[in-house]
Amino acid sequence: MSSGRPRVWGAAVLGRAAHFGRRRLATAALVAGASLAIAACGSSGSSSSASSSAKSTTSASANNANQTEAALGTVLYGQLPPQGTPQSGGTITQGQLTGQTPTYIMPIAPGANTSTGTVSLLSEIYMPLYAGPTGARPVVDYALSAAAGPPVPSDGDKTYTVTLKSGLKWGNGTPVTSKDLLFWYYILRAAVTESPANWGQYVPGEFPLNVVKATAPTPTTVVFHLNKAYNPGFFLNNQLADTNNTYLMPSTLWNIDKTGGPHLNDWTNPAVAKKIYDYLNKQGSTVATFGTNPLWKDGNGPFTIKSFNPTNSSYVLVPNPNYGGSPKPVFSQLDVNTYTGFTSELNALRAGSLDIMVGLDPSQLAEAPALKQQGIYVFGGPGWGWFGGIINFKDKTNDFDNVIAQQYVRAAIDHLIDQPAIIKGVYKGAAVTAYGPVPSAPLSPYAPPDATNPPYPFDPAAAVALLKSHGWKVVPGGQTTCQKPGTGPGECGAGIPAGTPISFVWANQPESVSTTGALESEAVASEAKQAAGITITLQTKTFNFLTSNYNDQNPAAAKYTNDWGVNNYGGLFMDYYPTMDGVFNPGGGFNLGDYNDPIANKLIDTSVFGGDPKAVIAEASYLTKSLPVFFMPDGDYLLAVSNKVGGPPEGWTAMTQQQWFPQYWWLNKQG
Amino acid sequence: MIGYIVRRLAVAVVVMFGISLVTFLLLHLLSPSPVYSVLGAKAQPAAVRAWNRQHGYDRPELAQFITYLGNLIHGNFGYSYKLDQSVTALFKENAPRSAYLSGAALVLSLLIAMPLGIAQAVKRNSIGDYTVTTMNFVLYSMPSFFLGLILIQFLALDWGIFPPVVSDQVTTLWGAITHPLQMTLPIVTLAAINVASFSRYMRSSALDALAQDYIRLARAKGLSERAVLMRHLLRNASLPMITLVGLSIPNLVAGNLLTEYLFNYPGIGMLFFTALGNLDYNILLAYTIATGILTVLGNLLADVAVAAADPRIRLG
Repeated sequence: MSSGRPRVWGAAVLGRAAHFGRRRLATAALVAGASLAIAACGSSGSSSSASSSAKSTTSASANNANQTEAALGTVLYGQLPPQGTPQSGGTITQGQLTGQTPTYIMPIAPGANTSTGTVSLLSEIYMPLYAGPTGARPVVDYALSAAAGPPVPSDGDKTYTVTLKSGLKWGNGTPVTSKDLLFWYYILRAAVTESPANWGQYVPGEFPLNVVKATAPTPTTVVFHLNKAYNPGFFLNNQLADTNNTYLMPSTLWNIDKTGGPHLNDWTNPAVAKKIYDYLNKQGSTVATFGTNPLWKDGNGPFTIKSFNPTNSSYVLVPNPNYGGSPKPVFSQLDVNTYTGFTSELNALRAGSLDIMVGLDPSQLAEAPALKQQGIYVFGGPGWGWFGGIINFKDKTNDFDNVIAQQYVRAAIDHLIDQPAIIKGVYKGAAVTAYGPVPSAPLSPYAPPDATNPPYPFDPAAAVALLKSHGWKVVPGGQTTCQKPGTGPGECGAGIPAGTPISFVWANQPESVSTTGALESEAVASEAKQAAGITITLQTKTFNFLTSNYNDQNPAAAKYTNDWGVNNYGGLFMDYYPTMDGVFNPGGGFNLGDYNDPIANKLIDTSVFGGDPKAVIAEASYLTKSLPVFFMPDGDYLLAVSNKVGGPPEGWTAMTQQQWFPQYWWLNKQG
Repeated sequence: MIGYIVRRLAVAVVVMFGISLVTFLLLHLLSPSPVYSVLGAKAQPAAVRAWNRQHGYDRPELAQFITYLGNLIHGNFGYSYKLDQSVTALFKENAPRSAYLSGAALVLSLLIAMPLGIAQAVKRNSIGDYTVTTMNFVLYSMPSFFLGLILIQFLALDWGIFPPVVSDQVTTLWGAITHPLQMTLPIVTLAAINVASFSRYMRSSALDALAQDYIRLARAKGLSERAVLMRHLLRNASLPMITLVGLSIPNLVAGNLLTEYLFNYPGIGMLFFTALGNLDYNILLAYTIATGILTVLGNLLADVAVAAADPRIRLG
C-alpha cells in the first residue's frame, strides 16, 4: 500500500474493534490473535427489527454512556480522574501492551515502526515541531510544540515560514536553533529518497520532497519553499504536524556517520545526509541499546530515557532538566511496564502495582463500577478517525460494481445501519456516531454539519422506498432484485440487468480479533436482509489478508477483485486536517475500493492545494453524502487510572487520542 | 535397542520434515511475505518487489522451503524482522524462562502427585480417596487460565499474598529463580492441573502393583509397610510417569502460552503469541518445528526410558 495521509486502525486488541497501533497498518498482533481471544443491537430504547421505524438520533448526546464535554472538546465516556493536588517527586507507573512497545527511537520512524509505543516515546524524549492534540481536540497544542506558532504562508501559499520558540535546549544544554530543524529536514529527505518506507508519514510527492529549497535565515526561523501552492490548513496539519511525527535533531551532535566519528557539517549534501541517516537509522533501530546509547540522551523533550529493558521493552523515563517547554514534569520517574494483555495489566492496576492502564477492552467495562470503588477511574473518548466497510467499486459479482455505483443504493444501505443501536449493543455505549470521514467527536474546526446530522439516518422504510422508486422489487427477508432495468427515471441504473440481486460479500476480521467489527457487521447484514431483502454474506479474513488482498490498489491482488464487496478491516486514524487525499481519490494508497468521483476528486484537490484552510469541510460533507464507505461508529479508546495520580483534564483527554503527555501528570498529595 | 532407536530416529526425521513442510506452506498461504510488516503499509510496489527479491520471497514456495530447510539443518532458524533479531537468539533468550516455569511446575506436580497417588491406592475407597479423586476431577476439567484467574483473584487481589503478575524483576532466568514469590502463582497454576492427571495415573498404576505377587511376598517377608511402598511399590508404579514426563518435554521449551499470558511472564509461549499477530513467521515456523521435534524426541525418550526401567519391555 502506498501513499495516503491517514494511518490505519487495524485490528482489535483482545476483541476490541479496531483500535490498534496508531500509525500503522496494524496487525492482528495483540489481538488475542488466533490462540486466545488469547474477545445488535438494542436501539436507543427499541429493538432493531425490520418493522421498526426508529430513526437514529443525530447528536452525540444521544449516546447514553458518553457525555458531551464541550469544554474538553470531546464526548467523554466515564469519569476523568480528579485533578488533585500535586506532590513533588515520586514514581508513576504506566502500562503498555506487548506488540505496542517502542521499536525505534530516532525521530524519523519508518512505517513498520510507527506504532503507538514508538510515537509516544518519541514525543516524550523529543519535542515535536507541532505537537498535538490539545486535550482530545485534533488541533496543535503550541504549549507543547517547538514551533512558536503556525507556519506563515506567503508567495501565494508556496512559501511557509516556521518560527521556533526561543530558549529551547538539547539534553546536554546545547541551544536548539533553526539549523536543527533544517538538519532534521535534510536527513529526512535522505531517508525517503533512499526508500519511501523509511518515514511512516511519507506520501510520495509530498513533504519533504515537495520542498525545493529550505533555508534558516535566523536562529529561530526556517523557510520552506515548495514546488507548488499548498492549502495552509493542509500544510500545517498534514505536512508539518502530522500527529507528532515531525521533530528537530541536534545538528551539532548527531552529524556523524559512525560512533565517535568526526562531525560532518556538509549535511545539506545528499550524499553526506545519506551517510548520517544510515548511521542514525541503524542506531535508532537497535532496541538493545535504547537505554544506553548516548545519542538518545540528547533529546529536547520533557523526559530523557534512563533505562530500557530489551527483553520486554519496558523502560524508565526521568525528567529532562534542560526541557524548555511547559508544563515541566513534577514527578521523578515514569516506569513504563509491558504487559502481555489487558487481563494482566488490569490485574496489576487492581493490585496497586500499576497506576495508569492504557487501552482497556470494552469487555472489561462491566468492571468499571467495582474499579471505581477501588479508586480506579475508567474513562475514554472517540479517536480522531473513522471506521467502516470500504466499498469495492470494481466487484463484478452479481454486477455489484454497477449496483453500488448507484448512489441511491449506497444511501439505501446506509439507511439500514442503526449507529445508536450499534453503539449501545456492541460498544456498550463507548463509541460515538460517525456518518462520514469526520466523526461527531472529538470536536474539530473541520467538522461539517453532517458529522452530527446524518444524511441517511436509520430508517428501513426509507431504504425500501428508495429501492422501490428505482425499479427494484423489494422482498423483505427474501431477495431484492431489479425489476426495471434501464437508465431512466424509476429504473435501476446503468449496467444492471433485470433480475440482478443486491447481494455481496462483507469481509471482516475474525470475531476473536475484532469483536465489535464482527458484531456490527452482523447487525447490518441482518437488518439489510430482514428489512430490504439485501443479501450480505459475511466472510472472515485476517487483517493482513484484508489489507493486502482485498485492495484494488495492489496489482498482485487482482485475482481477488470479484471476491469482496465490502472490506471492514477497521478504519483510519487521520491527521488534524481530515482530507481524504490518498484515501478516496484515484491511485491513493488507501483507496482500497477504487472509489473515483470527479466531484470528490476536485474537492480533495482544493483541500490540499486550494487557498481556503477550511476547504476540507466541503470535502468531508460531500463524502458523507457520497458514501465511499459504509461508516460505522467511532469506538472509544478506554483507559483506567488510579486515584494516586492526578493532573489537568487535557492530560487525560489527550490519552483518548492514544497520545501520552506524562508531563501533565502528577502523584497526588496524600492526606 | 540401538536398532530400535535408529529406526525411530529415521521415522522422526520424516515426521519433522512433514511438519515443517505443512507449516511452511500454510503460513505462506496466509501471508506470502512479511514485506509489509517490515517496510510498512505504505511501501511502494517497487520497494516491495525489491525487498522480496532480496530476501527470496519472490521465488516459488517449494524453492523457499528448500532454502529454509537447508538453513535449518545448519541451525539457522531465520530472522525476525519485527524484533530485529535472529530467531535463534530469541529462542535462546526466552526458552530458559519457559523451561524454568514448566520444569518447576513439572517437578512440583511429580513431588505431589506420586505420593498422593500411592496414598490413594493404599487407602482406596476411603473418604480421603474419594475426596482427592473429586478434587482431581475438578482440577483436571478446569482450564488452566481459569484456575489461574481464581488464584489471582483470591491469593493476589483479595488477600494480597502474592503479586497478580510477574514483574520486570523476572525478565531473566536468574530473576525467575531468585523471586519465588512472584513465580508461585504461575507455577502452582501449571502444577495443579498436572497433579490432577498425574495422581490419577499414579493411583491406577499403584493399584496394579499392589495386586502383584512381589508385594505380597515383601509383606510376607516381614518388611515394614513403609519399606514395601518405598522399595517395591514406588519404583514399579512409577513406570507410567516416565511416559508422562516424556510427553511433557515439549512444554518445557514450547512454553505454556495461557499461563505466560495471564501472569505476564515473558516466555517462549508469549513470543509465539506475539509472532502470531505480527505474522512473524520465521518465529512461527521455528516454534512449530521445535515443538514437533521435542514431541517426537520426547516420545522416543519416554519409550527408551520405560524400556530401560522395565526389563520386561522389549523395543523392536
